Amino acid sequence: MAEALVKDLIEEERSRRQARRLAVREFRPRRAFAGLAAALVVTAAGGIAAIELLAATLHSGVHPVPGMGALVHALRHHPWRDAGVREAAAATAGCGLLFLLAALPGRLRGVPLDGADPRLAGVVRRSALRRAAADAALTVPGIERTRARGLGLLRRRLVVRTVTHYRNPANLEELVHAAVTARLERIEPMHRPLVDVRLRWRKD
Amino acid sequence: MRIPIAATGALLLLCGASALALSATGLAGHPPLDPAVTDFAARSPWFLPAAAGIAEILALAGQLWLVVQGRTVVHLRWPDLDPQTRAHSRAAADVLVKTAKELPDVQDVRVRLTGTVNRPRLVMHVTCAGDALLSEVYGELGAGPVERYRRALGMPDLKAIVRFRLAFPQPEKRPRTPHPETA
Repeated sequence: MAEALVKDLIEEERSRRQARRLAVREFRPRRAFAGLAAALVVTAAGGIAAIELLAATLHSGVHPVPGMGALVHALRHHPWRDAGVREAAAATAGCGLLFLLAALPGRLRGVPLDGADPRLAGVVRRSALRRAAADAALTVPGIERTRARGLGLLRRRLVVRTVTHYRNPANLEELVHAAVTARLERIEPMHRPLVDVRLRWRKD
Repeated sequence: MRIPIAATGALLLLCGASALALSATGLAGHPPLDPAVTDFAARSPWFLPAAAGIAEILALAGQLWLVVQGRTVVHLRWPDLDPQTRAHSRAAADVLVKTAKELPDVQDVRVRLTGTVNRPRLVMHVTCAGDALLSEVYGELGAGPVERYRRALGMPDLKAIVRFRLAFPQPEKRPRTPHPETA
């Protein structure tokens, strides 16, 4: 009995981990444009270099690729310190840096939902989660306006700014916090964001 | 595909940075295609064929990468599945949409079967009410309609991706006074 329970728990944890892995794989940016651009650069550079080098190997004396004659002439007559050469070098380094930045994993497209099915991955947009938090805050009596921010790269927690027309807010902040947390419980994201409620009230 | 992108980026950065470094050293007066390099190539009969071979391998790898990348992008939109499976999927999708719409708070459902024969994907766009019990809708979807869709297609391991959209009503101006003050 106990053994079966432990096996079930292990199995569920494994399924949950696989579901998490599937969600991360599916919702990570694919970098399709960067991949296509890099593949084109490699193909073009490799192809042109191969054609030119084969022509040179055969001592043909001609440049089969249009424009390469002028490029080789420039490379033979302009020194490293030449402004054009330096600009080309800087542009190459810049492109390399852009590709390196594009190769960073990046943040997920949306907030994945928690689940134990390894064949299912769900996601909800960050803006929808923020909107849901603001909507939940508005259900608290006395809250007049609300705005939710956060879930970004720098500010990872969910910041809910609320305004009440009451002069004495009492425990409104806790009520808003509870309402937002309850709404997040209903959505059940994979990683629950920390909720930070900031309340403004009448001071006159 | 991030590793090849990173490798390409690192190579370009290395070349560009080396060229910039050379322009600031004692070799700054020499051209990039120095006569010494041309002489070395002329003296070494193996150099040009070896360099051409490496360039050819690079070009072939680039072409292969281009094809794989293109296929990935295209199959995100259009499935690479046989016509019979596509016909089955169309029939099963109607049932899936109908049963998914019957779940509480679900307003709209769109489904699409994408991917390849080896890696098929069911992509679902589900619109729910703003205050929907999303966790329950998600669980019910996976256990009921999606599972039946898998069985109908004979793909028990079909991965399903569900993108939820929350529909909120237009915000209305809240009255200022009716609520009493708290303690």
